[in-house]
Amino acid sequence: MAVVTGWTFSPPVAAADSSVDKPSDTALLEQIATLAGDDAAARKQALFDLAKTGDSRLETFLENYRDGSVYLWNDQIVVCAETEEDEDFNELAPLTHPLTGEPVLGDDGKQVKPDVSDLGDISPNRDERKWAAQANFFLRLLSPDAEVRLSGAKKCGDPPYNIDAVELLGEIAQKDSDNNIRHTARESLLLIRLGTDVPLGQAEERWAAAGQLAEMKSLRALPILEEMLRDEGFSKHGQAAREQCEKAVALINSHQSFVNWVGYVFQGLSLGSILIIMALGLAITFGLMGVINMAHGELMMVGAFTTYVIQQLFVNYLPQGMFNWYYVVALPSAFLAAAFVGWLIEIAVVRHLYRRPLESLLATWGVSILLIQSARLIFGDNIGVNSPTWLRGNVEVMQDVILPFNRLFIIALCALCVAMIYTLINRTKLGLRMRATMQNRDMADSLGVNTRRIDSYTFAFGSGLAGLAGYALTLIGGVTPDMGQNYIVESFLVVVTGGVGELLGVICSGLGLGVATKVIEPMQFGDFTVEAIWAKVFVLACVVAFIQFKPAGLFPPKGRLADV
Amino acid sequence: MFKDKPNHELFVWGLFLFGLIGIPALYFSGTISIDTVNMLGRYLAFAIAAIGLDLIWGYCGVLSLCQALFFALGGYAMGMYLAHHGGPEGIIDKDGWKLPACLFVVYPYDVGEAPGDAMVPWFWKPFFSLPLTVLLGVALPGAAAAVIGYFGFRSRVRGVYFAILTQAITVAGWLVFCMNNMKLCGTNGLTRFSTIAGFDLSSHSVKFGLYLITLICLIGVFCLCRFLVSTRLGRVLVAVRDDETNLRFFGYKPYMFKMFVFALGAALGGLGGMLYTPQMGIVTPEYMTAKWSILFVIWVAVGGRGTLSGAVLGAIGVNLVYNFLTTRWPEAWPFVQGLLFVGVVLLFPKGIAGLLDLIRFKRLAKRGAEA
Repeated sequence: MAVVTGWTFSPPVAAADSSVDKPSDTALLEQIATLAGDDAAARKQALFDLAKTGDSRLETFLENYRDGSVYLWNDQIVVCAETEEDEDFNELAPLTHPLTGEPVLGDDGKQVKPDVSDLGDISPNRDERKWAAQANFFLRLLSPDAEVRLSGAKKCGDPPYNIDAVELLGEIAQKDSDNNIRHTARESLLLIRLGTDVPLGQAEERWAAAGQLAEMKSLRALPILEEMLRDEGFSKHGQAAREQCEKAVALINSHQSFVNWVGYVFQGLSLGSILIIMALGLAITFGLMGVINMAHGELMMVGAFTTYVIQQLFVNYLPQGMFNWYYVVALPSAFLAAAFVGWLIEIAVVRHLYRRPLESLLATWGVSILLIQSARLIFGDNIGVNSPTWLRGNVEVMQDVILPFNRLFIIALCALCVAMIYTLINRTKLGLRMRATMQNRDMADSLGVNTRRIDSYTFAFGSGLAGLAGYALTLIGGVTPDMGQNYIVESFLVVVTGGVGELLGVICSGLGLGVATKVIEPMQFGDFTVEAIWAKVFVLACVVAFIQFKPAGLFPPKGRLADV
Repeated sequence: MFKDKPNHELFVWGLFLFGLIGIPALYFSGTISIDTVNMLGRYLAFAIAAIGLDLIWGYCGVLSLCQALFFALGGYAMGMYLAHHGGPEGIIDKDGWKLPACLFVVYPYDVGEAPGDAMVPWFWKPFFSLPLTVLLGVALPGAAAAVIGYFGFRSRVRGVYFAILTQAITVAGWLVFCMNNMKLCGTNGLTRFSTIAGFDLSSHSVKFGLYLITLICLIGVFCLCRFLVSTRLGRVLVAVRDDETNLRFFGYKPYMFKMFVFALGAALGGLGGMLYTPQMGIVTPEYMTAKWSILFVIWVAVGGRGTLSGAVLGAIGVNLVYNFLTTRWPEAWPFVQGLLFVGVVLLFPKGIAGLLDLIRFKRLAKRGAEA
């Protein structure tokens, strides 16, 4: 394949290593200055040399150069993107530095704004414009920054294909130090080969590329291949080509569906994790104490709003650099705030309703309305919680299987909560007293356990867990005063399905419901796509059917407890 | 005949009398506007649905959180009838059915503008005739309740579990009715009504007539339920509430009774919804939200559960307070509502009916002396 521009690159792949000396700014500026020269060959060479440096600042400069915003002024190369007019309608040009983009300052410390007529025009001709665009491509491919190189390598393979970059891509595909970049470069190379028309006789390589892409399980090739197969003119390439392409599509498709599946299951896991944290709190208040706390969703809201308040405190009173720490501080704060509110609810309302579960439902619903309205009056309806930067990335565990950090964090938090509850209930004295009170209140009372206090602690602890769920939810959902309403029914379902006897039941049913919802959602039966709503309805129907066979849930309480 | 009645029932009969005589008198003398009458009519429709809930919750002890769903089902049945006979004329599908305008409010069609191949969905067709609509509006919620009840009660799903189950079913119903491709107009709901049985819905006399019909229905429902709970059936229901296990050992099948009452209550909910829609002029999935399902329970709880009169008193009373507060201090209403829930449950478990019974009239003392 001919390199159209006629640039022969012996690509300085070493530039990919940061060890290469970066030319100093002065050297760069000298090269830039050549662009103002009369020698066309030298200008071309200058563009080529600039591309070789891989300096990302040049990207903007080259853009400006293509737009014709680069001028010569006092033997200096300057940039002026937009002119302005003063009171006398003189057209003035505020100047900026070609590399840094900062204003060029005069002796008076102000930005220099000479008259437009004082500027020397060095706008590029058509060829140079093309070269500059090309140079921009190479600039990215040669950048010392791996991210930029990666995106550059990817860009080359997207239509319209950058055929001129083929040689350089080939070099990168073989020699680059980063595995990922090598992979992407090779993919782009194959994509260019696949997407470029060649004379009919010499097409073998082209269709072989389809097979190679399929082996690489390239998701990027899928739409291109499908588009080609749909095209009516494709038949001129012959049956063999069609077969090869179809085989490739089938292979990539199966990979795609695998990737999607993993994605859905993962989303289901993180949704399930939030449900579990919510439901664990409910299982404690509802399962162990026999109180239906409809305000549980609002305790979750309290947790989310506490996170918001902590964030605002950090933004307003602490230096910028500390911002990321807010999310760490918010963890205990959300737990404690929700636990405190729960403790108040227990003292004011729930304490009087221990023997009347259905009525506790109504009273706590009233509490939830109070909480929602209070939050609405204090904070308003729309507030934003920003994830800390350390939770914004993602990790690619397998090819194309990308797991975002925030969802991973939620799953980890859920595991932490489970461990915490298990330890608390089974390994501590408080837990022992809790279990004793729940199993036989009178007996525990007579053995010297302060059951009143235990009730308060248990309720507060369950509420605190709801707060943690709200804290986790700020990462993936909106924070509104009535956010709890969306989760309360589902978390109750989790508890009902799991049974109240054991934490294990809650974990199983929480994960089950979460994963089932997310996996059913994208399924297709003929023309009918299951959507979020039908998935929910379906899961609900399953739960109703399930309760037919196991009225007391997955792990029903056994023995004497079952009678209570 | 009133001598052996408790205070709350007398009070309700007094209300009914006032509704039959006092309100028309006030209206025709010009003291209250037709809008007030219309509003009262809506609250009476709520009261009918609340009586249905009181049957299942107050007498049978089963807390159902899907009364709102049944109410909305009835409302949708009537809404579909009204939509058939409302909206702009002139859009006829291939089979000669007039397309209800609200079906095509949804993008990309403007109001009343329908695509050429649009058809009236099959499930809309039965609701063209009024008698069939009334029948279905009662039968559909009843049948739905019978199915839910059969599966729920037969496998002995207990109180709290059943409440949560019904709550979840309500949410599911809400989600389904909100979908645009269900041909139920999504979240916009059914609207653009104009006539009912040939009468103009916006005319004052029709509004007043609807109020009277609602009131008479309420009185009828109240008497029917009063009668029902005074029979042997009513005693079995209370037995289900107080000790279901014992009853089962006596050879009864509690689930049959629960199912029957649940279905009856649902049918009453549907009736309430059917009377509510023409007076409100719109029916939306909003009435199926968790909030509404609990509101019905609250009315019964505030009025006093297990008395039937309590349902009437609660539904009308709470809504009057709501109406009073939202016009003056809209922000305060949620606080009042929340405090009402908490306060009633904690302080007045027997509700308004219980409070009324605390007042001892002279006649009671007299009767005591005679005895």
